Amino acid sequence: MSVLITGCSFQYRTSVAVFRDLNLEFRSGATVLLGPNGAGKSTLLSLIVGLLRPGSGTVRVGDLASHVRRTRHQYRRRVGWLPQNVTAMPGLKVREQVAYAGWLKGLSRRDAWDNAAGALRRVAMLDLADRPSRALSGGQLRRVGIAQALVHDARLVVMDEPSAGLDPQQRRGLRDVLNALAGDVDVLVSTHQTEDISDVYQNVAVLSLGVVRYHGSVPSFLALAEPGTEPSRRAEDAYIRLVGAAE
Amino acid sequence: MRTLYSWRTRAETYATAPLLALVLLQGSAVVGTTTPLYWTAATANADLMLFIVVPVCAAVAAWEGARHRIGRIDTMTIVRRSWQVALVAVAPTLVMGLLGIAAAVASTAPAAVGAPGLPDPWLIAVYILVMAGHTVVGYGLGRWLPPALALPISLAGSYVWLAYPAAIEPFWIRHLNGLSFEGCCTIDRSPSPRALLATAVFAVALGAGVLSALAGTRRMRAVGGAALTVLSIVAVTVALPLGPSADAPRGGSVRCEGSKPVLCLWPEQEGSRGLVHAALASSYARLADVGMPLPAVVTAREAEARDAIFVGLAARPEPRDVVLSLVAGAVPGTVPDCATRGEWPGANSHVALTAWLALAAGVPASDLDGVAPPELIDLASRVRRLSNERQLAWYHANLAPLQDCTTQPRLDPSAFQDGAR
Repeated sequence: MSVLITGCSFQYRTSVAVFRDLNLEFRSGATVLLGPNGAGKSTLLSLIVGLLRPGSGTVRVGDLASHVRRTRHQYRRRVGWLPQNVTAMPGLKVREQVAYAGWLKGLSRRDAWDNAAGALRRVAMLDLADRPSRALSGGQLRRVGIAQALVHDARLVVMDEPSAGLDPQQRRGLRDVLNALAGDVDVLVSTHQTEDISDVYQNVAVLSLGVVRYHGSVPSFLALAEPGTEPSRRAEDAYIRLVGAAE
Repeated sequence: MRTLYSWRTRAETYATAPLLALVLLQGSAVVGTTTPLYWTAATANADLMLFIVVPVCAAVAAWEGARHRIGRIDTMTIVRRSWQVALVAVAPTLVMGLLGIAAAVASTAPAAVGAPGLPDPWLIAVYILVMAGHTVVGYGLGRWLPPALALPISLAGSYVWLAYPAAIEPFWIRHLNGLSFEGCCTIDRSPSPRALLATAVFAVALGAGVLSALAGTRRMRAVGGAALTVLSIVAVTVALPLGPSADAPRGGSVRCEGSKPVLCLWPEQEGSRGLVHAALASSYARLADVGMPLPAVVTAREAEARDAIFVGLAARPEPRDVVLSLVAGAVPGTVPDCATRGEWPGANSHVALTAWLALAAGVPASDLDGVAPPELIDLASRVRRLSNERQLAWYHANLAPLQDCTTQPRLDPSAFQDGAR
């Protein structure tokens, strides 16, 4: 399911414009969004999931536009969202938390409860379904967040820096989850981690100062690296060359 | 149907039983202070337990709001409407509140058991609105403030708003919080429709304002602010003419029966009709002997008292109370306007006339303790020793000063003895 951003401008009330006339299309599959801090990644993702509204222009996921009030519920049902900070609701067990997220997304209580088990299975957390959410590690909580994004059968899952703050082992677990998801749903992930993008994603977009510096396939992105760069450093090198050139 | 999350996680699971116990305990302590055998009064007295029920609901709802705040549901892309999320979140709190109100009404009900009718539905509806309003406000505070602030502010704020308006002026403030019905009502009175409406509208204003503000959009916040403002103004406007108490003459009709006098009583007093009529008939006969003119109708309905004597009676009055009520109703009790601007020479006449009428109606002087001071009882006894014509002359001479500020009373009975001028 493609994401089409057309002529999009956005400005927070008290700051300078984050985007001016942004045009971008994320095609189906798994896409990683790279960019330095302050590049506008989180703002862009918030526009895509419908938390923010563009000042001008449109954001579409498939045939639905984020600004159309009549279809806003369908739009939000179509998109799953993992914000940067996933927190446990006090007192809730893992499955309850995921089911509650499903109910908030418009599922009936029964469907939310049933879907929660399926979503937890997809993120390999079903065995912890009866554990209090508060007792989870950061990596586990992030996976619960992904389950919350999946519980209502979203077609596109948008994740804002899901690997931030995770240790290498937790990152590997998250990568496995993303790999498993990538075949079922479209995934759009913002991150600072460049080392393993070729393992998970098909497409890369690089954003800097509100401008798209690169958008294309992973192999084309890696080809931007300095010739002779060792394979494990090619993504990082390509990124630095793009962003360095921009800043 | 399964709940969204288990009861184990809800504060109501742990708060309901102690809350109900506390309400029943408090109710048993105050049940004796209400007008017996009158459902409206028993229901009104239950508002004393709102002190307990409502702040607890507000605090529990604040905790639920705090859970949503901690769980950052604002950062989720929610499909359901914010008011739906809020109301579902506080639904168990509302159920707890309803149980609390039911317990409050049940705890004061023993005072009315045996009386005709049922608990007052309007009062109960207002209590429910007050409870729901505070619950929604508590939830809103939980969403907006850190839990360490939201919970104590909800609990204490709710309690203070319920407790303190009764102690301050202007009076209209106390008619917005739902606690002004305590002490209402004697059988001839009922809750003021204005007080009921003002309380209900203000509770709705609070709830609607918070629910709209929770929507998160600027437009809905503006709608919420406007709703809160407009409804609050309406509530204050409705409450503005009210005095310190929230009661008014009772509506509905009394049943009139008998003769000499015709006696009109409320349904609650029907069981005592025979006793009341006998006491009144005896007094009427005694007062007729003195030549005292009395209307043909005695009524327990204050609003009908223009061509009749109003008697304020309990459901099961003693004969002495019946006669004293008749006497109180026979003497004009209204202070003339001029008394507020200057001296009112007739101020002392009222008690003296009441004491004389009571003696003339057959109440022994020894039963007048608390009705009149000893010197006026003695004075009334001396008046009683005059001839009937002179007693009546004394009565009329001292009746006039009650109604204006220029006529001097002539209380000394010696001025009415034979040969006196």
